[in-house]
Amino acid sequence: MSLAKIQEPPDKGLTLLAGAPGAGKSTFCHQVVLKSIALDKPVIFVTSERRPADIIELLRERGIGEIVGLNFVDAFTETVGLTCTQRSDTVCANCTDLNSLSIAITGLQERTGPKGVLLVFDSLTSPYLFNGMEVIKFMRLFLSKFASEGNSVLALMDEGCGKEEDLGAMLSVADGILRIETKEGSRIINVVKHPKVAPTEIKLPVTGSTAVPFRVLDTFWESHAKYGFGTGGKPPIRTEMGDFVNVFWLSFVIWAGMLWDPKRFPSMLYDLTKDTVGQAIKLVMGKKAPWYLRLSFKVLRPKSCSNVRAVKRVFPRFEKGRREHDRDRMLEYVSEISKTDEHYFRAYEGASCWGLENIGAPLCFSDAADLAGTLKSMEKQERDWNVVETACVGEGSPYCEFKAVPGELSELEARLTALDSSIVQRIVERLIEHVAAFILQGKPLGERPTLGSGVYTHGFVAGLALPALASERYRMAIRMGGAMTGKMLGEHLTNAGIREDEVVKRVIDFMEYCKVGKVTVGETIKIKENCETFGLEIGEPCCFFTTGFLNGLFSAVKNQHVREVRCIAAGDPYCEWEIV
Amino acid sequence: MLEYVVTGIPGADKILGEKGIPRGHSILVAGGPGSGKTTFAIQFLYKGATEYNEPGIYISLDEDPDDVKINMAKFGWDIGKLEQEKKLAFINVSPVRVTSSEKAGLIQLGMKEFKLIKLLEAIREGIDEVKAKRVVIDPITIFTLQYPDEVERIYAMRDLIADFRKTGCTNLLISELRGTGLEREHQFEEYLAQGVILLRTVMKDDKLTRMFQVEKMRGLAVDNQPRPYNITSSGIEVYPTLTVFK
Repeated sequence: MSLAKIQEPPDKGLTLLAGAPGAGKSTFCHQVVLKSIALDKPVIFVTSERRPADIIELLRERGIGEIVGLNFVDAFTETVGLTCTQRSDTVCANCTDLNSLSIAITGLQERTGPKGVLLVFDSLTSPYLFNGMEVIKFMRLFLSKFASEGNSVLALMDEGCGKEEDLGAMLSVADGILRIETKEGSRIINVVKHPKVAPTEIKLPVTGSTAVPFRVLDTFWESHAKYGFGTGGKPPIRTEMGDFVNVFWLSFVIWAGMLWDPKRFPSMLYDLTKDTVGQAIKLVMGKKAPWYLRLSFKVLRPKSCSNVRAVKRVFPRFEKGRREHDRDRMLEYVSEISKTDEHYFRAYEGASCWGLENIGAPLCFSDAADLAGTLKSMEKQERDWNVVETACVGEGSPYCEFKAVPGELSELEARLTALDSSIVQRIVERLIEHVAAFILQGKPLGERPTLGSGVYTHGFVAGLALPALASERYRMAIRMGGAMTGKMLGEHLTNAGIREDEVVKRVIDFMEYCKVGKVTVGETIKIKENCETFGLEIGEPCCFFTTGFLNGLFSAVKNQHVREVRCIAAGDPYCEWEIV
Repeated sequence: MLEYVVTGIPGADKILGEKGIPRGHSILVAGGPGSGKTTFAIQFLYKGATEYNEPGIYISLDEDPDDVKINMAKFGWDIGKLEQEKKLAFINVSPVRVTSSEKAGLIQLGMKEFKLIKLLEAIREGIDEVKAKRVVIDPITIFTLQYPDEVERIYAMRDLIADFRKTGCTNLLISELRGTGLEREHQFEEYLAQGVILLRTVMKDDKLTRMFQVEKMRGLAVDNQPRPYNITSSGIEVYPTLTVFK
């Protein structure tokens, strides 16, 4: 049983989420809202606990970029005696007056349409405290009715406020009941009653931490290690698709995430990549790699990477395996211009900037972060290194150049916040043109002179799924960015005069050409060996980018949506999406 | 076959069986102070004049029409323009506020001279002037006050309604509602009118609940349940699908 499933409240159902104050109800509810927005389902958010602006702030923390399809009933401001300003997406109501709530919600339906809306009520406690048992009538005659008209309703209530029998009566109205509680330090959602899910308990992942769960990393590198390091991945892990995915897909994915959140995605990408790479090398060289590699690592590893000689000696050995195996870029140490605690590296044929020559912005954030994580684990001291890109193919340079220093790096922040949505828009448009050129004219994608077109499949898990597990914001960005690019691509091809079914078919062909996975489209969409999650085991579906991308594509072309029902990461043999 | 007149008030027509008010009928609109009776009436005339090509007249028996116009400006209704286009006429027949020496309105009435015939004359002239299809008398209470005798009052009212029937106009007779609460006595006008719309307000603790209820509507199957309504920035809005919570 997965958390993902209960985060999508059933259609035509009133779900109650009960729990003690502070148990995490609102957090859960925000996740539900984000998911709904990701699925293009309009949301009416009734808030009686805080201002709409505060909720938007919290949702931004969790990764919402643009606010689309989110409408508020502000039942907070007036209830506490302040003046509420009515806006087109925010209607005022008062918790003391249940009529005002029902009127406000009905009014917003003019914006959302009468059906297919998610109504979130956070929380019923204030209306209950003001109106007593009349709230039961409100739930039955308004919320249940609203749900039965083809919408989903998720209403929150505090346990321990009011009389026990009142709570019982409120629960009796609901079609689904979830209880959230803290048990032995972890949070558990108790599915008491649910139209689609048998009663069960689900442990909630710890939120707020940016670290990837250790067990996940451990099993992931286990599978990576099985096939050797730096040996070119033979025999292939992906028996059908082979181990190399077109480099184009990687930049497509990364720039999609940027599109959703250009101001913060680079920093997220940088921090998470640095962290993941650091952890990964430590884990691999600590226990996963074959004994001879571990031994040579131990012997060769310098106390610090401060001086030029040390880096010059160790780095090429690191890089050799990387180049043959991962093929995401060729990196050289430039000892001539480096000095103590200030090293320079140059990269060629990097994945992040492939096809984006001279676009007018530095592009290789993940490569810089990767290098920073590598430098940290290359030295015994394990200092925090930071790397900034000083020249980039994206800015017209023939190579990308990186400057690495231990500790703080003053230029870094400015570099990480340099992008704005117009640049990213341009970048993504260029990428879409590349895809269109491939689809319409058969121009090959990602052919690099030395490295060829493929990058190692595990790079996707490391760059997509693992950071997404650690950060909700990242997850949201690649999912929503995926949806935006899927939509752009769908519209681009439709405008080029291709029929609906043909567009889908050609995009699927393109995904197969890129060796994303083995895709079959019938009643559902199936992807075998999907590179986003292949080799990952977490017990939850987590193809965030692929889901977003397919969603954007299908909504633009066929006005349909997709929902991931099976996932390799959840232990299924393939990833599968149902079309709704 | 009955014809129907769409009120144009959001939500109200749905309650009126998706049809409206039977043409030529006199409907009593009764409400407590501040319940929006006049707003309802003007909105009925305004929508008729602007959206259904049905000019209307507003006969004021109490308030100065200019005050009414000023009050209604906040809903964004350009009443002055409709007057110029002869789609809407205001007739002041206030028997209380117009003294006998003052020339105002179509007819001039002191308390004593105020009679049914004069009122009807004023109405006919008004109807002829704009070719009215909709008429509002606000409030009818003042008219009935002229007849201290109960029997006389009922006859006068019946004559008024019968006369209206002949004009073919659809009329709203605005009345104050005595006892706005749930328990209340029925007023004699409610028996005489062909339809009754109640705009009720209930205070519980310190909160006000507004309820729109079609108590009766001859010639039409209506939703008799009280439904919430609101006075918004664009006039009265009724929520025909919602239940009133107290």
